[in-house]
Amino acid sequence: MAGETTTSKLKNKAQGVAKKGQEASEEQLIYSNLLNICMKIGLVAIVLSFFLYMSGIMAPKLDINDVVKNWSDAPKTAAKADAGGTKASSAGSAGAEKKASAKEEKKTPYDKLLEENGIHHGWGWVKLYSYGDFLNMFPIAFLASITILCYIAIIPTFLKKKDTIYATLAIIEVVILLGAASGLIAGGH
Amino acid sequence: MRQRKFIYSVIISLVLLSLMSVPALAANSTTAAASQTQWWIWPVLLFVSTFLMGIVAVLGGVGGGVLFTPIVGSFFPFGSNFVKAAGLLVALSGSVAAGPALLKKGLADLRLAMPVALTASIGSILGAQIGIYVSQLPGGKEFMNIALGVVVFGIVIVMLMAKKSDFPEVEKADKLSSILRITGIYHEAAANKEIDWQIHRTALGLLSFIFIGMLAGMFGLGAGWANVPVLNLVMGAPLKISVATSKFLLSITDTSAAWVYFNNGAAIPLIIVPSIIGIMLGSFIGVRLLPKTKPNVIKVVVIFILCVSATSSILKGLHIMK
Repeated sequence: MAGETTTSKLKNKAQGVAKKGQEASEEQLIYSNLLNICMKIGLVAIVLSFFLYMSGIMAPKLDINDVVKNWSDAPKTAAKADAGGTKASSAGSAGAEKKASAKEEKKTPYDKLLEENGIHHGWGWVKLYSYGDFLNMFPIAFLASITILCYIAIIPTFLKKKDTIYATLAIIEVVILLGAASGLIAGGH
Repeated sequence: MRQRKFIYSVIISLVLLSLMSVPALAANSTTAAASQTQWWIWPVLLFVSTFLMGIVAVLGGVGGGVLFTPIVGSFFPFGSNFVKAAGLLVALSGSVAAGPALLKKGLADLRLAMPVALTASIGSILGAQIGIYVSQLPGGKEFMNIALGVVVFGIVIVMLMAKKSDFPEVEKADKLSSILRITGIYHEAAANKEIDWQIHRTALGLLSFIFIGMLAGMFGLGAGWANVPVLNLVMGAPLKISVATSKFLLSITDTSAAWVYFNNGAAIPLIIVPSIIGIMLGSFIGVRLLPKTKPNVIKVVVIFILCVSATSSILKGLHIMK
């Protein structure tokens, strides 16, 4: 038993890894502590913002009944699609009309509702912080960003330990997640 | 005794399915009075449904995400991309809630999770983009509904057939895992001893996670049902390490896919927030009920519900069911 423990310790030292086993590594503890704090902040913020929305304390940008009517996949009406087609035909091109019509068909009823209210995909919701419904997007976005923050927090630890491989993995992951969040990789509108 | 257990399972499943079908009935209501008051019914129904899902998921040993998307997609009137976005965020929230404790206890392993999460993230972004693109094509939504049903049936098969190995035999760590130094020791309480573990077939595992990530992103499912068998049976990590690391892994995999849906306007707070709160409260209760319940009964319930949801999804795709 003592021999086994010594062997494990020597193995860990030779590999330059912090003592494993029941004790989590330094970077693991940093990640877990930050994850814990952010998770609690995110949950409290989500509950609070939803309360502000549902109670009507902060008026929504979109009428709730309109959201409910437009959250299915079924198309709303043909009216808006026709409007898109009319605009294209005035440009005088059958091809452009077809493209505009096809683009219009791809939009969900909710997409069209957002468009009618001047709201764009991507990060367009940020400027709508004073509205109850879009205020909720902030804690949701925060929850979706916690991983990025935790990864950034552990990069210095990997670099300090000269663990180049894992520092590189963490940096690549951060780049991918930031790319997805920014809409660059995801191809958001 | 077995017969009684089976009968209890069927009764519980029917009760749960009935509760979850109320939204479908409400959606069919055409009276003006119903449509006036309907909007607030949805967050309430969603909260109740996801609360029940949270309990059942913990007791049945599955993630909330794998229940959420098929059930909500089948029984609620929400658009498929909104359901997928909410499903990913629900799975992500559950993972974020459980992650700190699992990491601190050394059950979830960061060195094991990080390389795997990288390939899974890439897969999930691709999957989400494919999911959104296909759903916009003519007949795409129907195709995605049918495909989701098929995938959920596949999940049921995996749940029924996949063996689990508490301590897989890994004679020698492979070259890649040695370079990455993916190894560890954890205390196995049941045997009261330290378990020294290492993994093999790392490259195959990493490739598998690209595919798992794609499925998760495309259908808005949590990937725990696939993560655990790959970590445990393919890569040879002990079962407890696999389960804990898989749970933690979801917070990374689902983040990337969730942002794709988010940036494509698929995030509706009225759907997402009650779902997250419901699942988390349900999981909290489920953990407390776990010692008092028989896991096999609940597993039958979960499988039954998944089969019904999968069938419903396929019927929806074929326009046989609304």
